[in-house]
Amino acid sequence: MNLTYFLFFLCIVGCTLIITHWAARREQKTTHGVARREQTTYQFYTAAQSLTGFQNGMAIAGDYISAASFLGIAGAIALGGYDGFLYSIGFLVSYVVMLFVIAEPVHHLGTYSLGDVIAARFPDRKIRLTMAISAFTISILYMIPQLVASGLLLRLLLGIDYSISVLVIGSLMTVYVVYGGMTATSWVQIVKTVLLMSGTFLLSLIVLARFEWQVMHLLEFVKKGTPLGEQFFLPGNLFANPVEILSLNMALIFGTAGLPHILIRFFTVGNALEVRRSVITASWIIGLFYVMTLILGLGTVALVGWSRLVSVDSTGNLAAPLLAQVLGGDFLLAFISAIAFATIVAVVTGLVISATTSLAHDVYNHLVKRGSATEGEQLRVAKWTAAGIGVLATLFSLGLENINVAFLVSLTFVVAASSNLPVLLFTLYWKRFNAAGVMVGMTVGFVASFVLVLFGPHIMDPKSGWISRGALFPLYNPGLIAIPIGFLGAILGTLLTRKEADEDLYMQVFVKAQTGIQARGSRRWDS
Amino acid sequence: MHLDREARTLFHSETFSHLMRMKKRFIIPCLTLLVLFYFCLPLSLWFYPGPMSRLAPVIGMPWGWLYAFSQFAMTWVLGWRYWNKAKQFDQLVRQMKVKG
Repeated sequence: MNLTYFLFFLCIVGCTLIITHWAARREQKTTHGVARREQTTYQFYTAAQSLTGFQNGMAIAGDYISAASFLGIAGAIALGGYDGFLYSIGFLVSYVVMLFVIAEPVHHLGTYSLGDVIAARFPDRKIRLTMAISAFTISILYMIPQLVASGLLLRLLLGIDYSISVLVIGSLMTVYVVYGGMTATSWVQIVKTVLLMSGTFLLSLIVLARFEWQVMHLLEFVKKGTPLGEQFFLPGNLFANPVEILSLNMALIFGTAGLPHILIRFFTVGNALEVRRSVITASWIIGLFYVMTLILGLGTVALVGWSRLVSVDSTGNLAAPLLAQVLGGDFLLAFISAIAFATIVAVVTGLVISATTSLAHDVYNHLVKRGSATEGEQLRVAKWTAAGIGVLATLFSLGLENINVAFLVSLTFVVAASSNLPVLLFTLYWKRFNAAGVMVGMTVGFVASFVLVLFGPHIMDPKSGWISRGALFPLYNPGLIAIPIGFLGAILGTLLTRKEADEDLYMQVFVKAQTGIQARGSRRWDS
Repeated sequence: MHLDREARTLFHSETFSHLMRMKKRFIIPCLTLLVLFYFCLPLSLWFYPGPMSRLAPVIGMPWGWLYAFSQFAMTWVLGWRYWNKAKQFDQLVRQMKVKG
């Protein structure tokens, strides 16, 4: 490995480890001016709600923008023009849905996990277990492709062995969560967002400066750089099937609002105002980021050229690094590669803490110990769980080097949209919704997503599929079918069972979800 | 149960009903607009590929790109509108706390 690359990587690893050490020490010091010797679960899972909305918004952006966004979308734009840009829209617009109907109620009802939110209305052990399984599965399904991609990417960029790359990233994510909990996770994500935005902004400025700040001039060069010519700017280059675009759009807009690792970030701020500020900050950062990836994609075609991009990597994922090399030589390439590394580390760290919460808090504390585990016991179990998840995900990823697991990313969004979102929405807003509806909705949405992906072209393909025969279900992204099935399951599960919903509990939960006010006997609300 | 009776009182209180009316009046139209506007992009690419590829007058950009960019603007404008409107929601919540 070249010395410049090595120094940049060392810098990222060093900075993030210092953050973790600082987070661990900070948590041992004080919460509300009271000196403590040990970290608490409140600090471990929620960073003691100490983040401001702006900080949390940056952390949400850091949690959300994965390598698939940074490298994948710039590459998709470079290869497919307009169609590549379509990906970014769904990722962004979903934040309005979250802002309007999900974020504040989740903050008011939950303590540490999504299971807490549903349990506020349905304190049934089976329901908490189902929520925990769903959150855990989503986090792991998302984590594995990120880790596999990190190994492949670092091998491609820097020539580091796949196993070493995966082991380094796997170890780092585990260390951050075990020692620093949510505080370290949040700050690693904030630092990543700052790096990522600065890096993409710098690249965009250099691209525009190369064309004397004339966008039309840049577009002329894009036309010459791609074999698509004029067609580059028109729809139909990546998606031949319009139903596929519709289905993908559905999974993107509804999936984000059901992703547990994003939703648990609303527990890290102190009030509804900061929740709003978090979502709005995140939407601005994510939106501006996608505008800049458009410039990077166009710049790649104009300056690197389509044929060179495809000859280095046919998926287009190396668009941003190649552009950086053309614009700033090895130094800029090293900087952008280090940013890609930080991007992956920040995302997988968020996923580890999300998976840990569902196992240690929901399963161990609430189901195994029936909510009676001591503070020390809960914290110990949480840290061991985080370590176990880190090791397990790393081992899995090591064995998946030669297997295409990219479909797991789209599966994650579909499962979140068809299994978590219907239950979350109906729990918050539908008076008649009952426990049977929760169980049926979650199970049906979950199973439908898996079955449709299993019988879809990701898995069933005569040439490159895990199953060598034609797909039984035609869509790569089954959101169009799976999401309505999830909603329908929850509705029919409720209507077809005679079990009455607890109306008083609904009112109590609804008031709390909308206002943060908890019925508390004769005491004043603000006491 | 004392707690339930109290939740019921809060739920039916005038301030809370007012809050929910205001929220519904704002969120339902905005969310409907968002969903329709968002899904009309893939649908128009499906049903009207020709017009979506044509250049928009004055701006000189294909309608498809213009529509895609307008989704960014919509996200930020709706977020900003909610941010302002939510100040009124917070005021009503504060009133509920004081009255309680």
